[in-house]
Amino acid sequence: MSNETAVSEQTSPSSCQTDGAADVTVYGLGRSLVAPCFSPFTLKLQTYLRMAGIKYKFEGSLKMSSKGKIPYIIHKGKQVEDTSFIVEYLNKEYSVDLNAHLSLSEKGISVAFQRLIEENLNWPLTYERWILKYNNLVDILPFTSFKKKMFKLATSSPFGMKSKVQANMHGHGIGRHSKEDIFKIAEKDLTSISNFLGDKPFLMGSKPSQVDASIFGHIGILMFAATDFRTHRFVKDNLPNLVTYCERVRERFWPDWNDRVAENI
Amino acid sequence: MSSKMEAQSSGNVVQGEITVFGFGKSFLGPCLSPFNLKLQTYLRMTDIKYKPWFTTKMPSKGKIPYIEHNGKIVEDSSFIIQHLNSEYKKDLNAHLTPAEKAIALSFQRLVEDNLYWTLAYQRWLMDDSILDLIPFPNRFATKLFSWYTSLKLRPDLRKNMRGQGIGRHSEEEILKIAKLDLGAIADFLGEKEFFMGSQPSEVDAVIFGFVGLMTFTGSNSVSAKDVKENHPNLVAYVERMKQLYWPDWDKLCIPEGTTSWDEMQQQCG
Repeated sequence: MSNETAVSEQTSPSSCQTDGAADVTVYGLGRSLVAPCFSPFTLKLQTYLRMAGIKYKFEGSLKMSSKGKIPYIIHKGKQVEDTSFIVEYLNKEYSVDLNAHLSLSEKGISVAFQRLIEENLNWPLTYERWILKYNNLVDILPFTSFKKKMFKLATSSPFGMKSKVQANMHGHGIGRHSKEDIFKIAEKDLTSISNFLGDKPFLMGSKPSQVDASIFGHIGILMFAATDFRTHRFVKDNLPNLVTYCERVRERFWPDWNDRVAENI
Repeated sequence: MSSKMEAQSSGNVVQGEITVFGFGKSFLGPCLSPFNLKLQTYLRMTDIKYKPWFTTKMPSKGKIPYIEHNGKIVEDSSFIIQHLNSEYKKDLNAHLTPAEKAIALSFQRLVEDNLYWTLAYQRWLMDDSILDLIPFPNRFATKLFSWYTSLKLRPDLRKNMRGQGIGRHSEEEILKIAKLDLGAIADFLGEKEFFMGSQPSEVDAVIFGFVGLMTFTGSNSVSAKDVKENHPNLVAYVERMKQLYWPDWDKLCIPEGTTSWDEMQQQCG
């Protein structure tokens, strides 16, 4: 088991991301005009890297991994896919344990909340992004108007992203619900996260832990890059502790957020 | 205790009575589906009378189980529970704080949106042992069902798993995910009598529905063996739940050797 650490403990979160060479390269859907990356899972992964003090380079790319998943990493020539497996792999490679201070019961709870976000809440948010607010999607992408037109053509074709999302939602089961029921499910999940968070600075207590990367990945995108979503308004109007949580995590791990978003063309 | 056994024996459709439609029983348990076991466990926990009924017809959302109550069809086990809580003024979660309710919901999501797929994979896609659970009238019927499984059921499950995301993993990775989830359940349960503490709550129906079904009707699976070897507290928990809410479990199983279709239908009420 390697005891290599990529950076000294003094490294600030923002200096983890480099535009030069790094042992870890993250490939994911690129930056948007309002966020350092378009996808919640890519934001989760980059947030984890910053929490762990691991130096990395981010390459915006449309190319999927061999499992058809994005984001993925290349670490010293090796491809690793699926953010949960990537985190497990890097924890081993760099001897990182962001959950060391948690009890066994707390570790159980943090796995459960990760599943709530990534295997359930993720779907209503994806639904709002790709189906309901699909026409507004291009507004946050750093594309020329020609590229925006091509993007819309490609994603709304029978084999495009939009129909893939619909098929995936049906496979999961949530796609069989009405629009109102899907929103109810999202609101229930968001309220639960808020109720569990309470007054705590981070989900599991006074120190950040691995699950904060998952929470911020999804709810951070919702609060900073999806301000026209109905679910965004729901959080803003009803769950103020979740709003301040996102701001806190962003300030601590993404002080360079505005420098990392894409420029308008 | 006796009121829970009476709920099973009613043979008449009575006004206000609930009929739970599902895929019926097996040789080893009263249900084939974990969602059905979750729902029936909830009904027993809340002392709501019901009658299970065998069906192969899917309702509009394509989800099983579903109920018929006062002429109304309600689908999706979670929506059914919400509906019945409202109709019968039940609240198994009344004693929980908002933070505890949040924890309970997160584990429900872990089980139903993640662990479920890894268990379905083990039950349907790893081998043919599922066929030993179901009674068939003759060898031809077994063959027919086996074809149906290969041509429709398994491809559908694979497609759903790919849509959900977990289906893109290798078998080793799927089993690893199951191990992690079951470990989280066992770690949070600890030595508590019920999942959230000393009193039962709604999430106990969920945990028992899935982990119980696996333990008692899928004991040869990788995950069942993992739980048996590594999480004795979880084994003790499902035994406790079974004794408390399903003292008639063995009586409800289809007797070994049953092959007649009529007999099986009768068994299902």
